[in-house]
Amino acid sequence: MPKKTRHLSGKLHVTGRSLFIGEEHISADMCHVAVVFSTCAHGRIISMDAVSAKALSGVHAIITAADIPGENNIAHGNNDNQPLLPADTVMYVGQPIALVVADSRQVALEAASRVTVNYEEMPAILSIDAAVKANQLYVPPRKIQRGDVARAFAEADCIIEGEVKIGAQEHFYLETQRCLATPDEDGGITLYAATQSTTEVQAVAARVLGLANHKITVDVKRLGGAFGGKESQGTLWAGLAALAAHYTHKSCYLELRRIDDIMATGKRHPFENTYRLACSADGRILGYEVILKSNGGAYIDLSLAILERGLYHSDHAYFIPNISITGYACKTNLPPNTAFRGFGAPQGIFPIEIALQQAAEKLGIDPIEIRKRNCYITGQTAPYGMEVCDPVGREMLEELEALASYKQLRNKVDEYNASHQYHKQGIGVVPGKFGISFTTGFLNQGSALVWIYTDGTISLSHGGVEMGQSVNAKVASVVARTLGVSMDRIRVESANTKRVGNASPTAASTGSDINGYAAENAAKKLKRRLSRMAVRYFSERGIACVEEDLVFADDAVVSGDARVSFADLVNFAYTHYCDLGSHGYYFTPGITFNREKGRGTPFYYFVFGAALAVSQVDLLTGEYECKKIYIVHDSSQSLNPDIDLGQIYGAFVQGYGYCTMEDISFNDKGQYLALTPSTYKFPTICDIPPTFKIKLLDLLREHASVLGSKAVGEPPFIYGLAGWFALYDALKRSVPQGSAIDLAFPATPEAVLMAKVQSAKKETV
Amino acid sequence: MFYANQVRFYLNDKLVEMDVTPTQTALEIIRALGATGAKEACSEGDCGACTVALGLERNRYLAVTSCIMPATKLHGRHVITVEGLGTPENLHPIQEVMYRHHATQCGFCTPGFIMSIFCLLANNSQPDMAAFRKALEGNLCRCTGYQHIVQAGEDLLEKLHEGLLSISSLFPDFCDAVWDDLEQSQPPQVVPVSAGVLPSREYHLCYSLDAALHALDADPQNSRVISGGTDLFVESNVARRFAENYIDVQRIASLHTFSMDDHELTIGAGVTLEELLQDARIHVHFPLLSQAIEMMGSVQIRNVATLAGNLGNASPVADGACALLGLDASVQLTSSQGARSVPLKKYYLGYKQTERHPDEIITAIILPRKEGGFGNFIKTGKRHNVDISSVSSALSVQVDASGLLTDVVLAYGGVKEYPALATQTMALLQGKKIDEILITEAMACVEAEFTPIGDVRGTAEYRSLLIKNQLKKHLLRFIKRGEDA
Ligand SMILES: Cc1cc2nc3c(=O)[nH]c(=O)nc-3n(C[C@H](O)[C@H](O)[C@H](O)COP(=O)(O)OP(=O)(O)OC[C@H]3O[C@@H](n4cnc5c(N)ncnc54)[C@H](O)[C@@H]3O)c2cc1C
Ligand code: FES
Ligand code: FES
Repeated sequence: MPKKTRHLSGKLHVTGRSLFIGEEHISADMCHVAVVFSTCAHGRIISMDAVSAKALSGVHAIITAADIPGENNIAHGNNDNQPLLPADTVMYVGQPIALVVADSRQVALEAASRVTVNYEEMPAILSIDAAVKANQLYVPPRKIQRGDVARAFAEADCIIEGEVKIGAQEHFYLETQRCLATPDEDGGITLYAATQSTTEVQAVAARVLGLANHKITVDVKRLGGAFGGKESQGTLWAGLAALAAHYTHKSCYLELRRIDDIMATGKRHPFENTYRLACSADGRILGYEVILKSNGGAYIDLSLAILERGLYHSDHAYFIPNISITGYACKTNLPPNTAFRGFGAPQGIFPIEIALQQAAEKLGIDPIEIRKRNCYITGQTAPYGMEVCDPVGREMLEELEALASYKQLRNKVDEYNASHQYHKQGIGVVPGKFGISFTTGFLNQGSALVWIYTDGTISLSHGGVEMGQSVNAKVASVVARTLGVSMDRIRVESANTKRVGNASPTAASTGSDINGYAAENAAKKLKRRLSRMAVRYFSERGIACVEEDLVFADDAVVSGDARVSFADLVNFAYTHYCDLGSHGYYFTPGITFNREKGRGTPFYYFVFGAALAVSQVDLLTGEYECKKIYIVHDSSQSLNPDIDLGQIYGAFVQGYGYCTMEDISFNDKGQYLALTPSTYKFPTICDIPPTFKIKLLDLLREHASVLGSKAVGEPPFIYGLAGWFALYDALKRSVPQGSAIDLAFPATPEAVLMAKVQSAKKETV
Repeated sequence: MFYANQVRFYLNDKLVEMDVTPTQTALEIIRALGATGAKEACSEGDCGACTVALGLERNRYLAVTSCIMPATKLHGRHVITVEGLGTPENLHPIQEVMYRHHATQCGFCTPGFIMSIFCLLANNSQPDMAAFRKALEGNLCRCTGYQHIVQAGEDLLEKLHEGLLSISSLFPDFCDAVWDDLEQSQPPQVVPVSAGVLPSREYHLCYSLDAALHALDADPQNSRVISGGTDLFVESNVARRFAENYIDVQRIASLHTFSMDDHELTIGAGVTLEELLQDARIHVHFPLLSQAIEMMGSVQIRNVATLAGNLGNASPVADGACALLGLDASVQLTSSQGARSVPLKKYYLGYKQTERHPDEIITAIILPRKEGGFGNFIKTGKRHNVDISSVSSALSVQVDASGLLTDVVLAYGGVKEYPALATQTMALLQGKKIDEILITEAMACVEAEFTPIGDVRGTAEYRSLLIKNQLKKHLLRFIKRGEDA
């Protein structure tokens, strides 16, 4: 029954009754905070003039770095030093340099716009190239190697090489960054923060205010989308709101305007990768050499972990006997780039996929066939030495071929192309293999707190943050199934540092795994105690039974013919001195990695799948339309198939937007050029084709997570890449066989048309 | 002195009487009144999170993006928000399908989607799925990938088509009482009251052309005429550029006329894009204009935006302006001294500079009628829906008895400081018969005619390619009337 549960906040959402940050806990004298942003990519602040801003009626305070009582550093879990407000040197356009606190948002914004800042400009490094030349790397290059790559290339029948530049992606969570900070009676502060990481916000706010962690409470009921963009990047804004509240002793609310959010926050890392692939004549990969270079922006943020995930996914779904993977994380003067669904994996995966696609063309092998031939099989290990458990890539591709009727589809597309001069269709296919766990091992821990009240209802707190992914519904369903109670008995509380301390960020797709296990452990403890109580309850009524025979189901506990309702049992337990509260804890076993050696077990298990897209290109304008999407996905014993489907649909479309229309570049001043949705385009409902089919599979396996389920947040993002390959294939069909197509990433209509035109130019030369 | 306006309107079942400042938005007011289901996610009309239903008269509700709607425009209206449709205990049928189909994830976009669906059904009792998608083109969702919303739509439309659900049952119960009162208390006039607030002085909600001209004459240089506000309020929200005075002409009844005789069609400046799109006369006689309008903004934008505003804004990439230029339209400018008509091809003087004097109001747009012939509009952007053109173009031609082209008009947007005619190419095509050779010649000619700039919507090189390829598309469509091109 819990499998069919809908979004716990669903009814509130559809009636507009769900409250987001800034919509509750509001006091009449609440102040609004506006930010003065750096307009300079790298420079020293020479002077700041806030006289006319201060003069505005309704302005309470202008706050700068000098007003920070504690340590001016918001870097968390790494060795960097990122100021909350820089004291003298700005590192990127959009870096906050001062705060205005005022009565209303309008006055605050007006005042902020009146603050003028003079800079002594310093040279800014923006591109990966420039950073590499200047040796601006966050760490020495990372390497993972296996076998003898040189020999593989010497023995190859077919060698493919190339370079790919992958653009950034804006998160565009619908709810912009925000935080409400309210002072507590004892000098502490409660933060209603838009964060995926209550722990990080708590620790950082305490540090910058010079307070103990226990003085800071962080509470998150829900987020209006996050996608990684609020994993570390919520911290800055929460820290600023906390500072304003601490300084003014008033409730302070900071909400970024969209244009400021896009300007000032980090994005998915752009990567520039070079690759070389060696294959045998029958399309088997002999060797692969890839160099990944990421643009990390001005502070390290999560760049290292993201690069690592890119490295660990460079093999993607394929066994590669001889391989060399190298990674650079570059320091530049852009807003610090950050986590975004997929976390470096898409950028690591794309090169091997394009290389295989090109190898297939060169060798005359079907693009699905060449992928099938190289998929991991049981017993093979990844380049970093971990055995790839339950490898089902090949089965997934076969299922996909069946779902999409691939042969017929190919024929239909070929027919279309034969009869159309100015439009061409193409088919793109990618498998998916995504490693689950935080690659930073110690983060793989979750906790939960469960209280059963005397009426038999349940309060559940866990370490996960609800941001639309329905982690609350999933974790609650684990508790419901463990205790045999209905979902409506359970209320899931906000993520709050007082109830669940030291929570790991809700990220890396692990939210329901680690917190679900923790909640299961908490519920199991309660079940044991209640079992003892049930035996006593029944024996007092002359019914003999043993704990092992009790069944918890349908809101009751049953032993043979005897039955007690859950509520009655709970009440009995309470009056017989039974502890009805329980804390559960879980950590993922066996996650280790040796960075020097490039060896270890970074993942607990993998999620597999595959996707196919059909797209149609207009060869005169470069515009395109996605016509069909097919996806097969390994969801194992899904906790809730409908929720999983929602995640897959959403991730696909986000991935599809990433490699097609989502285009955000910066100019030579380090300013992003698409700051609003009028210029930053991501898919609308009209970009989604009528045929959008997903098949969830539950292949028998050993390695899965809580109640046999698997994580679903990030893996399907990879499927979106099928959209890029569909465009690539369509373009290929528009040029003579053997002509190269150099299609940019993202493949905007402009990129598509330019690829076509340039290919034609090369032909005529 | 600053002036706020005292407005009177209904928010769901509640009568609201309050003062609003000139640059306050409807969204700000609605949220301040507690209807926080309407969300701000972009404040520029592009995401639809702030969508509410704006009731203009009994049973006529339009989806609008409240974030770029001046609060004064609420005067005399009925606003329905998602809170007005149903409660968690008693879901409205639209809310129920959205809930049941998992069409909400983070929930931030959801109220906007629901209000767009409500307005679609309130206005179009038998939509199909294409209309359903089109009605939601202005609502962005970053979580769901839309598919569960599509499934909710399929379910809903099926219920409607099978008669299991009636349109009238979708309207909240309080609507009748609201309109009983609003109809009685019409016509309302806003009352300005003085108040000391930032940053504009006055917002005149005018009910007659005379009143508007009078208000404009007081200070033409520092006043902006405002129709839908879909350009002006993006400017104030995003760029923080405010006018001192706003003169709202959209309630002037005489600007809502629409008249056609044998020679021309006259469109009043107050007619909205959506009204034009729904008008059969435009479809039949000026298909090129319908094509253009269909691709402008989203339904929320078209419900309030006007062609007058499109010309008034004088953007180089204005699609309406490009289409009108291609139709050889004229614009009627009226000041307190009288009215004059200016052909659009003489209207533009430079980047965002026009023939219009500051004391003039655009009162009408005049389209000469040409029967038969061929008209076609093309717009290329990054995304098919709700995007600004990289390049747009309009071609209209007549064909004489011997199959030769006459009356060739070819207009482009996004190729220079303002929408412009391709005069050399027009001359080249005039009097010719289209064949492969002529197409190639014309493409070369038009490419040489413009030197576009590069910006965030396209490099110069791409724009040059689009200029000639769009012409090719026009001509191929002309010969083949559709098909592959
Ligand atoms: C989300 C979104 C999408 C959009 N998409 C498109 C698109 O696809 N294509 C496109 O071309 N545009 C688009 N626009 C821009 C805008 O909607 C159009 O330019 C629209 O036609 C403006 O009309 P309006 O009535 O809202 O203008 P307003 O904002 O009221 O006014 C615009 C300008 O015209 C002046 N003006 C208005 N009415 C008069 C009058 N009667 N007399 C004199 N001057 C007047 C104003 O002073 C102002 O300078 C979009 C805007 C948004 C917010
Ligand atoms: S907030 Fe995005 S359209 Fe209004
Ligand atoms: S549900 Fe999150 S944006 Fe639509």
